Amino acid sequence: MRLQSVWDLLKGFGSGLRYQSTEYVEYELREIENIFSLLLVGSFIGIPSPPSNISIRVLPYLAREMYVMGRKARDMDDISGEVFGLFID
Amino acid sequence: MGKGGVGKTTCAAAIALSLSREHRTLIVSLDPAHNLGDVFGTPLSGKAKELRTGLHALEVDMEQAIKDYLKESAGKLKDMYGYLKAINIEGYLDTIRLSPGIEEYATLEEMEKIISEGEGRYEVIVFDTPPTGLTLRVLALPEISLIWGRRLIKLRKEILSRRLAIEKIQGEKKFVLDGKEFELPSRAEKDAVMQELLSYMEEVGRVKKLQTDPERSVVMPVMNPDSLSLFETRRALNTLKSLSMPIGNIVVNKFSGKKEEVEAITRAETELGRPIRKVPLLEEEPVGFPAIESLSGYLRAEEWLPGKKNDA
Amino acid sequence: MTTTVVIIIALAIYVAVYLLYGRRVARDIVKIDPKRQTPAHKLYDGVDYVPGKWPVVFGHHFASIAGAAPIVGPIVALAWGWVPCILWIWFGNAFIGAIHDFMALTSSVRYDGKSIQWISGEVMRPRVSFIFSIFVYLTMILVVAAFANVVAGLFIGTPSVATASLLFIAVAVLIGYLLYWKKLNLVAMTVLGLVLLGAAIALSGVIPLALSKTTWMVILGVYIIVAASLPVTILLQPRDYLNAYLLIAFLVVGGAAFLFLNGPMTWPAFTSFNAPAIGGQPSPFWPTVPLVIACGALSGFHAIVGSGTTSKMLDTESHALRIGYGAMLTEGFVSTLVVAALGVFGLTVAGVAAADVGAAGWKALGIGVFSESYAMGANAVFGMSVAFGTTFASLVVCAFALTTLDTTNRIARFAWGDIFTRGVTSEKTRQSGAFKFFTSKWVAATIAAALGLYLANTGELYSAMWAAFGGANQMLAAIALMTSCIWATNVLRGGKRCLVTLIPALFLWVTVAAAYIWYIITMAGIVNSLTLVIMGIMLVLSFFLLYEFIVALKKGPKKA
Repeated sequence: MRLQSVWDLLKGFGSGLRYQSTEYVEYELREIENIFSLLLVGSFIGIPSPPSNISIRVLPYLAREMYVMGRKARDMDDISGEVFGLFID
Repeated sequence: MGKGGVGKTTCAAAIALSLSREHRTLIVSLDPAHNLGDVFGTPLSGKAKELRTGLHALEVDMEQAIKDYLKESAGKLKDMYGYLKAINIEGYLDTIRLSPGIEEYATLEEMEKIISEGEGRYEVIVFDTPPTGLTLRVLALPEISLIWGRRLIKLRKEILSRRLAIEKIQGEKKFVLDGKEFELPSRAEKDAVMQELLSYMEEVGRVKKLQTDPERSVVMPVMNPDSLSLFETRRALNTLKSLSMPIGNIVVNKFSGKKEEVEAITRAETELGRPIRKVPLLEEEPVGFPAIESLSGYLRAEEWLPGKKNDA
Repeated sequence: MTTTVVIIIALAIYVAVYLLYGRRVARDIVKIDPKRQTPAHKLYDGVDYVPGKWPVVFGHHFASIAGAAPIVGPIVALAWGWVPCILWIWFGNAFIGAIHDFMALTSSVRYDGKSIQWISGEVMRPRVSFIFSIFVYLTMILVVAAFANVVAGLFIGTPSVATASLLFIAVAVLIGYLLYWKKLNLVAMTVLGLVLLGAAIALSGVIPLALSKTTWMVILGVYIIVAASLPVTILLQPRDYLNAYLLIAFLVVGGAAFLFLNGPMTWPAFTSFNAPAIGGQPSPFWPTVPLVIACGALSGFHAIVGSGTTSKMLDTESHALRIGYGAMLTEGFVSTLVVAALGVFGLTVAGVAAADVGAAGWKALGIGVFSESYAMGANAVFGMSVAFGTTFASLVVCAFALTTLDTTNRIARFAWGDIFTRGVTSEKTRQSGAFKFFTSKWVAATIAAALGLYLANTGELYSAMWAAFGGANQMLAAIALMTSCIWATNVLRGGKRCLVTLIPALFLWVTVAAAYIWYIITMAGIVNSLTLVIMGIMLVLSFFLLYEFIVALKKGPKKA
């Protein structure tokens, strides 16, 4: 049983390293999802943006993107949380 | 197309009337301040009414058109209800109603609807357009939509490619919100957003093709013989040129022979670069069929073809 | 005294501290509650907020905090003799550093994954958040200065390392392309990458690259800018990933080697209190040792990592001790290995006599001395070729130093923006062209890189730059500790028990402030005056911090 735990530990460790291989990409993905959402929603409030009929057609499928946008807006005062930790080492 | 009060509706009516002798013609009023019915002396509605053999007319009910447009959108947005449940759906719709551009989209959509329904039933469709500003925005919509569409597609591709890279390494992930699971598409074929964007581009592309095809559409600017009218028409023509829209002859309406007017017309000829057709200022307002008939004499409607669709 | 004994003592101390002290802190002060929902559950979204099994989170956290610093620090600090170093690494870590990491992590977990910077503004006044940003930015400049120096020093001392590093970058780019663009299998690409790396190390001795320091500075400057502009999947991401494996190999080989080597510690145990560790000047062990040995004992940046990403992955609060406290202790173990390696072989490799260490005119050892010592240990136990081992160890240091260098760019950019966003509140100023220019991303990043490289180029002694960086980093740690203390006292209402956080916090503040003063006085004329200016700014800001801290303490817990 102990040996199994050690093996699990090593596997887990490796999995943690695997996360390291996508951290930056995930961050960038969130950034673009955010921009995508902003562009589409912007049309409803008069920011230069695509015609609102594009937005209306596409919006129903953008739950994730809208969520990211909302979260970024909420966390705008905490850049450390989003960014700094990511880029150390 | 022209400023309010230059006499667009009357000219449009005249052209439609004269064309209707040889071709099945539909004249549509898009102007929220409908005058078409008044000009013909009969009340018109959203359904095409036969005024004469070969001539049908209708007035688009913009209020209703906007309502329909919004209702359709609301239906699509209800899918998002789960996410938006904190927001009052009705209130959301009200916001959309007031957002800039709704009138333009609804107008464009009405035009598309009329054109596609009229395919085969009419040979010529004459649109009596709203005042220049709105009309130009409506006509520019396809081009703008295409530009934005391209940009959005590019962004979407970036999103998809990153998702795919992550998926290959970490396996598929589902986005969870309030217990509801959402797919995170990573390939264009499976991505509803991309598919919508692509089909949107296709539809808009078709409209753009139609409106820039000199064999099928033409814009007829109407102006009055004064400098202000000339300036506005010139600006409008520049915009139309940048949209690659075919421009027909220019109608100068309410011409009464005064010297300043003649000067204005000469300037118009040189500056605008299109043939001018003059229409005199009539003693009485041209209302009713006889008056329209006499007007059409000045316009030589046949010159406006070839084309199955006309804008006035 | 042999390395085996040292390592066993290290393990014993760390385990004991973990069980006896760490657990006590977790239970009594932080009041760990396994049933309380962590942000990973509360804000669960299947993508970013996902709870992970604790080894996964541990691996992730450890890989994030590990770097070149736990290696470089001890090398410089050995001027005092190995015993003072190891004592700081053991006890400074256990009672200050690991507590600092642990509490930053737990406070972040309690605040829904917010960063320590945000929390500091929340439990003290918003001004503290602002000061935090300034420190981060200044740290970035100094990081560039310190690490560029380290890298250049290594490249000049051992040109084959330069080749190996460049080859490493090439391998990373290739793997990045195959993995992220061609989307080939991860395991296969990992193996390929590591094999290529091994080959690169082996081949690098054949084509050494010998260039001047200034040339290297320019090259590093170009590198920083290019790395920041390229898509992350081309360089940063794959390189980060491969680095982690390099680290594991380094630790496993090194740990095993020195554990079994049982080599005698020939390095002097203790030289003098004022050994010339920093910049060749007599440096009092207190207060300057925290500036020299940062990561490995105590490092402000760990708080940012813990509260930035790790807190969003924690499954339950009961894992926090293992990860926050445990990872830091593990890093202390890394530093212990470094001390062990140099303890045994340092004198031989550097060709100095025990009496010379810490004597007048002593200059800090080059990093290459450590690499070779490491290699000799690996050679003695595993038969690994010394040349290969040396290049390998140096590559590990360089690889991490390079990573740090190019990420400073991005952090600097954000910190700069943050400073202006918090500092400038008038709408009018914000609209002005000057404001827009100054907050443009190029200005921010370029200034940091340019200043850093300039400082690196003009500083002769890398230990001086290193200490400056350490100073900035440790004041960040002080802010984090102060925040934790206020959090424990005012929010958690720990009462007298919070002395556990109060004492380290105050001790650290006093130490770092004193170190600043010492530095400014002693290093005048030795380092670039710009460095002194930066240290001066930080000293002034430290007093603001102390003031805010006292204000918050006086305010006490809100009336229930």
